[in-house]
Amino acid sequence: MQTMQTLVVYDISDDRVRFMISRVCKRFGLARIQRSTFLGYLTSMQRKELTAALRRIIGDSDGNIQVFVLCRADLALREVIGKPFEEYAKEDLLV
Amino acid sequence: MSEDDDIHLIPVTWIKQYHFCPRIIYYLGVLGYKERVTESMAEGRDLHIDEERRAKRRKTLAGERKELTRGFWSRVHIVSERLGLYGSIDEVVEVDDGLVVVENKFMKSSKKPHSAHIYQAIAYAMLVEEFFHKPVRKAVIRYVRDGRSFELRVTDDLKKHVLWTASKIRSIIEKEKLPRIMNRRRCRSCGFQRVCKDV
Repeated sequence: MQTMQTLVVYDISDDRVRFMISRVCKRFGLARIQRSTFLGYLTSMQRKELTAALRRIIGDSDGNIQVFVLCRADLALREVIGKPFEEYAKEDLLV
Repeated sequence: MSEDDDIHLIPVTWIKQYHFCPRIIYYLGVLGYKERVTESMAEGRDLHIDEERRAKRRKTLAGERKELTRGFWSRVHIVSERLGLYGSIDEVVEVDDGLVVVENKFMKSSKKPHSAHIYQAIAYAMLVEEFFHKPVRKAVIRYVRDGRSFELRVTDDLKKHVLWTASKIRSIIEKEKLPRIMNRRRCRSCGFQRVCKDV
């Protein structure tokens, strides 16, 4: 079974909710590629679990999370322009 | 099987588990494992509570057809010594010509309801018939995520199959024999994948 890359992008104003979202993404082994963007390999079941966890966190609060599935070929076409994102030392403060 | 056997009573959820994969019964009943609570299960539990609150306010059956409800009970716990089953039913609704059992599922529906869900709903219908002493006209399986519901007629054949399932479950527990995996495609979404040696 080929695992696909999962891309999670979110836009959430509530600090607490945003922090919890980033923590769940890390728990599922995704890497932070931008402040509110995570990327990593997940099986379809893991992705289902992740989306369930994200749905539970966001609940009724304002905000939007999008989960994309990318195959290896599509990911290879990625262009990174500008400086790559580096994990900040105090990144949890500016999630 | 003796009457005073401690495996006389089986939870209805095991009927569902058996139809998902008989091997799960071995893990639950013989080895005493607990199923890992997955994120999807936790979400389902949250939604169950919301759904219960909504259901109490409904005036029509399952909130869609124009059948007026005359009585409504939610989360009904029933133990039946005669059937050897126990479980808690999401919703029992009384309409003009009998009772209806509603089972909520918090997943996306497929073209037809999963067989495991069918037998679970029928087992609940049997418990309700036993407890209320009234016939259950139909069972409704509602997939809350996309709002689709399926109605089942509670037939004698389905009831027989529930009892057959219960006897198979008892025999797995008594003989302590590891059952074969029926459908390997289901292993991917199984909570026991990690303990199951064959995967």
